[in-house]
Amino acid sequence: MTPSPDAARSGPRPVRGLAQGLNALGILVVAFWFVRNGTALHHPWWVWAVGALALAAWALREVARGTRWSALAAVVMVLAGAAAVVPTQALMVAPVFVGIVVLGTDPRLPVWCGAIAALLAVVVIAVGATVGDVPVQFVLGTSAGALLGVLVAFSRRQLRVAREQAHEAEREQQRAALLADRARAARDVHDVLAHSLGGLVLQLDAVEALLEAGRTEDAARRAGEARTLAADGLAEARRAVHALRDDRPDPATAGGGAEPIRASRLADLLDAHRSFGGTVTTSGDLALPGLDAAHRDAVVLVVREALSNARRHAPSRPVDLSVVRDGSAVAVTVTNPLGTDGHGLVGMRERMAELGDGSTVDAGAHDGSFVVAVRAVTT
Amino acid sequence: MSVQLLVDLVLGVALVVFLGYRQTTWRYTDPTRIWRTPLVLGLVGVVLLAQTVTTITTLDVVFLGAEALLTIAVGLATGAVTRFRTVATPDGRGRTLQSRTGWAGAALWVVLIAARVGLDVLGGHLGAHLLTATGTILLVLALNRAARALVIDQRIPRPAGPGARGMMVR
Repeated sequence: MTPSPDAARSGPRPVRGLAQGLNALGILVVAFWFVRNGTALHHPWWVWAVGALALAAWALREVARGTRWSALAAVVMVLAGAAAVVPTQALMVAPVFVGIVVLGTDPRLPVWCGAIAALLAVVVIAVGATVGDVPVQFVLGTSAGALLGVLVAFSRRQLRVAREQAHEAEREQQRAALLADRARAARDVHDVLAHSLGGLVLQLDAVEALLEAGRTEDAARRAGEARTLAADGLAEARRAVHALRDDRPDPATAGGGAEPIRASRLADLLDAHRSFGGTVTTSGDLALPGLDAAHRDAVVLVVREALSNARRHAPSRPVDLSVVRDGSAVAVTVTNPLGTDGHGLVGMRERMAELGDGSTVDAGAHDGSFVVAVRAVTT
Repeated sequence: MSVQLLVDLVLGVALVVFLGYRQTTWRYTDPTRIWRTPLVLGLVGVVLLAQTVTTITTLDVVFLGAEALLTIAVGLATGAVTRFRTVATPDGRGRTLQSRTGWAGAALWVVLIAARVGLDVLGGHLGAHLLTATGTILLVLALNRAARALVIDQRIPRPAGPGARGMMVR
């Protein structure tokens, strides 16, 4: 699930068409006054030339946005525009300003390019003012315009950097969500396969032993149970895949009442455990009163994993299951002799944590036994 | 005038020797303090300039701008030729990073001083007197150090973690 380019660009961005429209309008307005004042003031030929060059560079820059020509056009805008600033009575400060902003904002250029361009423009304008005998106030005023361009460019640059960082954070978030989804899928697959395939192996071992002993009827009964288990496992695997395909975020709630296949009662689990040759003693109300479907599902799935682990890591050892109503919660405890950890315990903890209301599962060795203790908050 | 020029020359030569020595020896560098010198120099320069200058001409602006461009270019080049190394034994302030610019850095200083003197003479002949003000000299130095700091700030080898960062302009 790689983020699409469209999604990566979905942040707040300036409207490109609007910027180009405003620039086109600016070029037209400046060109109009350049021609009108020029004919009235009788510009020498070189002023017409550099002025036209600056305006052409401005137009080129709008066409060549985002390419290398953009920076080159901006340099021409600054230099030619600055040369024409004094004769055009500061009209040509507009392309100079835009050029400085373009150079200062371009992420491919170093950060100081805007300031250097502004200084160049000031020097060129001052030379023009010295030659044309224009008061220094004129130079200082246009220099202020150039300085403003540097500041605008710097703030735009920072804005762009901030936007890129925001995109990066967004991508990281999407990646984290994807990994969480994968972990959830892995957990479901593990739970389903460990339960049904593990049980199946035990049943088939028993079938083999019974056949060797010549107890064909018992073997046939075991084989029938194994078939039921395999069919249940297959159905559950299909359901898990279906839930993942449907992109339902929480398999615990997604597997609620509507899906009849999921083992929804502790009693069924205990029967299955006994049929695999396990010993289990129980205490408390196995119907889990007071829990809603989501919590009951989570508890049942955790207990299923605990029993599955007990069979795998501590075969033929007694398991004790107790259900105790504890104020606003139901405490479910599975105790069996010590074994080693697998992926199932991680999945158990994630499953309870996903309910997000303080429901917990505690699994670990206590006094030489392996204890899985569930605390599910009641509705 | 000629006596002053002579004094200037002697001072200049002494300065070049001193700078050559400084540039070619490894010196401890603090990434968080490279902006201090340009800031202080710039502030003092602006204050001095504001106190001494009464009038400014367009020619002053031309020469000031040209000198600013020159000093910034030299500063950027100085930043680019600076070399860094990390030593095992920190100094009294716990710094382990060292830097030097070598003979290239010394040559850049000579270029800056020579161009500065040349602009000074040319400007004096043409009537741009603002160049010789002490405030201007300090401002030129401040710009040079600031340009160098800008490049060094991005090139400096940093240990992991945000604690050791300078201004980090991008």
